[in-house]
Amino acid sequence: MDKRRVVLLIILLSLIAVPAFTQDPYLLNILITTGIWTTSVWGVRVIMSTGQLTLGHAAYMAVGAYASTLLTMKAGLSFWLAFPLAGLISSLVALLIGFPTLRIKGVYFAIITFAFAEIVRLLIVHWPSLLGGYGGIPNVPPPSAFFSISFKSRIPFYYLILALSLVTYLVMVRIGNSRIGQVFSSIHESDTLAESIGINIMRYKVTAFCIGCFFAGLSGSFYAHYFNFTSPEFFTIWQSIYCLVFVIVGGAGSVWGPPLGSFFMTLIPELLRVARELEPVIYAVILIAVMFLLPGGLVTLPARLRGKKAHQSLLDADERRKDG
Amino acid sequence: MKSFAESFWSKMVILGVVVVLAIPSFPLYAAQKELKFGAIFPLSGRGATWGMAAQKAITVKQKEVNAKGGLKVGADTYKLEIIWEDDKYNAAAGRMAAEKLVNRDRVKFILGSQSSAVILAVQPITEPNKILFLVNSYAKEVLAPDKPYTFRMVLTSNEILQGMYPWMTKTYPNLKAVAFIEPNDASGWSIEKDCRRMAEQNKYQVIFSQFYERGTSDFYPLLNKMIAASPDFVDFSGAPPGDQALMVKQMRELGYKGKTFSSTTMDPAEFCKIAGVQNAEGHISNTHDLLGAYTTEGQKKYYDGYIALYGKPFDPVTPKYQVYLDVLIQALEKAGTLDTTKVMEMMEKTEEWGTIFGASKFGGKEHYGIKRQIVTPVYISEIIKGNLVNRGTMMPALP
Amino acid sequence: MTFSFFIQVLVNGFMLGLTYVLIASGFSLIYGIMRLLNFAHGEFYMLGAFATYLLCEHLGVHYFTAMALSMVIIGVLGVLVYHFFFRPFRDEHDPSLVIALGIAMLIGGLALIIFGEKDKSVAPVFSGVIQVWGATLSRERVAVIIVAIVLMAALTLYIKFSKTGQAMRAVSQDREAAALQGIGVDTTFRLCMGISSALAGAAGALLAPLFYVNPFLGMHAVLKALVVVVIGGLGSIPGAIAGGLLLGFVESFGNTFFGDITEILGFIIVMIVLLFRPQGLFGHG
Repeated sequence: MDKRRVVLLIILLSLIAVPAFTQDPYLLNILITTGIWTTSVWGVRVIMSTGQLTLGHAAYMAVGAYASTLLTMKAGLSFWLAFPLAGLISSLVALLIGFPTLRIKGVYFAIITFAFAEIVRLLIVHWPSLLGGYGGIPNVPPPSAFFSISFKSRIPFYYLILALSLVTYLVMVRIGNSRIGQVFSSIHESDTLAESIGINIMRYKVTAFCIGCFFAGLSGSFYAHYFNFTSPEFFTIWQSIYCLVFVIVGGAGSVWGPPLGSFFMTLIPELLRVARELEPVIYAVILIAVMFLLPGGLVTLPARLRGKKAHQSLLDADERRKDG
Repeated sequence: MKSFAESFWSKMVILGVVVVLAIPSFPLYAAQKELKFGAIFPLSGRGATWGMAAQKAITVKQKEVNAKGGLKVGADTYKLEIIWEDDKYNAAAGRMAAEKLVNRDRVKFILGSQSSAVILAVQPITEPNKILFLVNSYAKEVLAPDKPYTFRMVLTSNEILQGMYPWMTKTYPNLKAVAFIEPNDASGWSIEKDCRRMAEQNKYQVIFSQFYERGTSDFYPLLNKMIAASPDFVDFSGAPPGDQALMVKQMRELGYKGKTFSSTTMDPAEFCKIAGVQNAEGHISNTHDLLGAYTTEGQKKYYDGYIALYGKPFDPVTPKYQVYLDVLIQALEKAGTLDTTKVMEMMEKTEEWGTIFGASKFGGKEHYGIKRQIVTPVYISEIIKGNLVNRGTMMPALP
Repeated sequence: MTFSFFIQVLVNGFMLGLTYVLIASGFSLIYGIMRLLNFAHGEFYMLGAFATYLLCEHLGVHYFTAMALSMVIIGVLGVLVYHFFFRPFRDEHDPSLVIALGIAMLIGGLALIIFGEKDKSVAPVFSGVIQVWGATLSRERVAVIIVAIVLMAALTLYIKFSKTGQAMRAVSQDREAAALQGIGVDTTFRLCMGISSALAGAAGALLAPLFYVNPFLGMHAVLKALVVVVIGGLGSIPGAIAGGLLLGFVESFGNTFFGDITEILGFIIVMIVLLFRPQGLFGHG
């Protein structure tokens, strides 16, 4: 336990220290982008922890992004108010959609989330006067100064996303260690069984869904204010699929899955730029290779290196997920 | 003594050989200074047709410049290097590509994208960093007074229709009612707005306008409705060339007898193959037969350069993209400096540029709020019996 | 709105629907029997179109021979993809989704590099149009309709009456029970992939001369297939047929009478179906 804490502290301190060693905006951009996806993908993981597969996570990021954009640009609110509100609005939408749909399970639920995501995207596009249409909304303002720290350079953004990621991490760990997390797990194992011992599975599924979409909304809001631009193209079915891919590649069994998956899958396209037109092919090959070599995700790499077989590490991942 | 002389001279010979072999690495003969431009275009995915066309044209010009010894800016001569990045026709990917070009490769000049969303997502990086951004996408918002470092290097429907619609009224005065069909995406919407405005200016009656879902290949439902409205001609400028060809084929099958029209460029051979030669008869487009009636020396040179690099068949969609690099190079040579602000001012000040299309200039202060839109001649052609026939050319007015 | 206009709308819907059925039936078969959402299915459709293009336009093969050959080639490709990529993840749901996605991206990416980005065309075998109760239909389309109906009929009969078809149905209902009864699950899966991919290839071959051929056909096709099988019922061939035709009619009527808002309509129907009858029109619970 203590060893883990020390490792975590070291990781945190090194992340905090990064800007002291390099102010390269390109590098910082990769870390910031990783942070955005990590936050969002942790949300996917918490939804998956109740056994629901979401193929429409990007839609909730979109809700957060557009809500935050409109609140700051049209309603004149400060980013610091619009940002948490964006998360809340996303989880509100999740609540409205979740109630009727979460009783559906498995692949059917996944398709519902996908259909809903497309509907959201099409709604955004067909309301150009308010939501900018296909062209999106340009000139989204950066966050206003925070205690005299202005957001002109990239470094304040870096610390903001680091803080957001840290908060999200702590929430996820707390959930994992708490009773709620255990209930989520038991629902994932067998919801009929859980129901039979008196658990109101709908309440817990909706809670997980709302929590997951809350973080999607937050990450979407950050996205818009960091890129100074929001567009339906940021939140297509591909982005939703990537959210899912990131968590599976990272390893859904561990809370470290999302950051590993997000970092790895953000880094790969950057490293593959040299491959030019071969990049999509090599990306696909890497994706497939990772699935073959590490079906439990990147988190199982240490175990695999220690010599456990692939299937064993998959079982271990399952075990770890149950432990939270 | 003999052996000493031998060994001395053999050493000299060896030294001489080594010196001669090492000559390429002597600083005196070192590689020319390099000037790096960035280029963000769709090189994979659906937009690849346009992105690769741009890549081909720009590469032809690049090779031409380097073959002549390089680009002379002030006292220095540079070998032109272009760093190509794929934006996958997606704003997020385009933004990441721009990040790399601006912050890692530290380019000061970027040629880029045909996607408005990409450009709008990239401008927040390029404008504050004073990166000269030469673009090509149809959305009006891409050019704005608060974005002085962005120039549009290709005509949009706003400029093209200024030439083509009046030509239509003159050449086919019986055509009064027009139908628009555009895809549901940023360009489609942008173009439809321009078409409507131009139609009104030219006293056309817009009796039908509908957007279609991207990826559609069966247009029968939409065309059935369009034909029932009885348009005299149909304008589908926003649709990709393949879709345009399919629409022409299908509307002829359904019995449409009116004129088909597009303000964009296409490859006539490909078009006729997909649409069917008989169906394509009379189709009007903004395609220019490079070796035809209005050819110039520059165009012939570009044609030869293209064939030398890529072989036949020649791609008629490419020539307009050559202007990107051509004008930038002239601007750099004229400004004599790599300082982007000075180059930008030079581009704004200069009243006329020589391009392969003849004299061109920048305009647009009235329409866009800033003089950043290039104005090159508009070519009109018609497909007659499967061949492209040049019908006219004019310069759009863009105050 | 005249009578012939209305008939045209119906005929358009039928035609559109049949194209969807062709693509969706194989997708539905794979999900029904293998419980796998095969994202790569659209890429097999695209490859079928390219195979036909290469055979017809570059090797001068007669169109119908090319179509038959394409079916065989893509069918074999499907079996190979199953054997090397899907089989190891047969029982793992999440990784198999990512693998299917990866294969789709791989095939799409390779196709772009090998074939280039330009639209290609296959010369149609039939030309001219015919009139059906006032509605116009090109002879090409009539041929496609006939072949499509034949293929669907053959598929339905095969699943219903043949021994291997019955084995497939057994495996789809209960994999373990079927295995206990001596049905080779792996063999059944191989057959299923082969047939589905061949069907996708057939769809590609059939629609190639009608439309155009480029490496980007896959994604759109698989998304439409997803909508169709959801409406019709995952795993049911009659469902794929009903779902496909329904979607075709909805899109035809929608685009004719409501305009481009139709794009949303398909997804709204999907959500409604999933909320009130998640197994689809013909699915089994």
